[in-house]
Amino acid sequence: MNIIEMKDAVRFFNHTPAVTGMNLSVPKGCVFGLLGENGCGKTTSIKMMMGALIPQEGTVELLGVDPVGMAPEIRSRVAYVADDMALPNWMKLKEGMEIHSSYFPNWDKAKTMERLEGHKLNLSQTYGELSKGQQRRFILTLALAQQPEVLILDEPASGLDVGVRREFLDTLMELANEREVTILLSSHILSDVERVIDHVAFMKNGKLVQQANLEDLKSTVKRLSFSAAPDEAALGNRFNVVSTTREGDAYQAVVDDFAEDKLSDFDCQVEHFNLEELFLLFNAEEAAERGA
Amino acid sequence: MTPSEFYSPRNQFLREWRVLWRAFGTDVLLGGVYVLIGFYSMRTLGGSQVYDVVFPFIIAAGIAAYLTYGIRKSEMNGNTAPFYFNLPRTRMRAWDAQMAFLVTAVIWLEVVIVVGTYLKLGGAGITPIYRLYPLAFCVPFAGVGFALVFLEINHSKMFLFAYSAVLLFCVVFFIMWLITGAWGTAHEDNNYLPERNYNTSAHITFTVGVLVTLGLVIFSNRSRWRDRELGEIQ
Repeated sequence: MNIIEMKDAVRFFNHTPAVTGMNLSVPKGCVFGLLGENGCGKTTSIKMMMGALIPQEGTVELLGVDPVGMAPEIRSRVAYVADDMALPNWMKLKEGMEIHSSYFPNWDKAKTMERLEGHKLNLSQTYGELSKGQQRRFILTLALAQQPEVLILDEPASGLDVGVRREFLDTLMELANEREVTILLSSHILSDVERVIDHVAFMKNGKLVQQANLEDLKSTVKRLSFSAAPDEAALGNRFNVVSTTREGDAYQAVVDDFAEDKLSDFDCQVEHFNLEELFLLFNAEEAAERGA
Repeated sequence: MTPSEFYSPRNQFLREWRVLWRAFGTDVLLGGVYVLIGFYSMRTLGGSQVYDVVFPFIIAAGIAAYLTYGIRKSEMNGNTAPFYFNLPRTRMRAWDAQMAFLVTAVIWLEVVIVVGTYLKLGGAGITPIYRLYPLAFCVPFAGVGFALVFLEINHSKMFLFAYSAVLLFCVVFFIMWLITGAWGTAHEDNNYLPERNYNTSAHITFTVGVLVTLGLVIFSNRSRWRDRELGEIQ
């Protein structure tokens, strides 16, 4: 079952395209990374998932229903954290929490107090007195306290230093392990998210260029390095070659349907990609065109 | 409590009200003080004291417009913390709560004006202001209406045309009110009561007309909001 489903979603701002034909399926229980450079349409897509923006074409479903005008009973099952989310600086944490909790029937007070204590957050402090890292932790604590089935995080750790980012993502990992929560995480800091996500989607210029299980992607997308150029036709017959590079005699081919048994008589070294390399690969212009 | 009971219209209304009170309650209370200051800010020395009472109504209209703009602009732009935090709200209930809050705030300012008038003019001074200038009562409500129209026009210039007739109507009424009422014929000698040729029924007609117009503006604003919430593409 897919928790989030976008089909051919299109959204323009005036005449500027932000998202152009987005198709996305987020399976239940996964930690899903929506990755792309700044301005590629991640936030617009997320806002459409949340019902804050209405697609001009196509459809969006969250928990099986249109998120626009979603009933509060269903919306309460979804938590959302964005990087620029904030409480008023003058507001005490206690009051922010009281207002927030009044909207949720399943508010987990005991666990929330435990988390706040763990984060060394004092409820008598005002939001403005907290450091940026503490503010982020408090916002995430509020989101987790509602015991969501779906947690949507839009660049949740941007602007935080490395240590705080790591701690933040660890909290997410704990949550994903504790309960079956579907997490959608958008980010452009790939080294961070690689540790936590199990599904990935790459966006470029308002389009989805690739969506897959991360482990599947890593096991099928490989770089084959040959010391001498192989028979390109034979290679092409055996694999789906995404790109090739040649430097002197050395020859490299990137394939996206790698399987050990297909190699047989080819004499080459198989190189693995990490998330950042996969991102660069799928973010190349030709990949974007392929996605179109 | 079942989810539908938890999110009943009444409970959702009360939640919205609570957020509004926390965010704007101080402004509403302080508004009363500003209105009281209004009693002393436009003295017409040697003239009728009734004029002193007119200015607080205009201040109250300014406060009402400020509150309306502050509350509705953020909601229309999706900038409120509750919206941004994706809280499970019912945004039509939010509109209802906001209007109820604004009307309550205006009534509070009107009460302050009545008390202020009593203190300023004495018990006998309260009646003349409402008999001579019944439209004064509407002026703070008109502040709410103007702010709503301004926000709609700001959101989509298309509404400039639709609302221009309403705006013209209100401006003409306000000018007529100033000419015929606020700067009219009340003075100490006639105990601030209407003179024989004073057309009370015309003033009452103006007042009813303005109230009806305001009602239409608010109704239209609610309809626009409902359409937007049901999926109008912006």
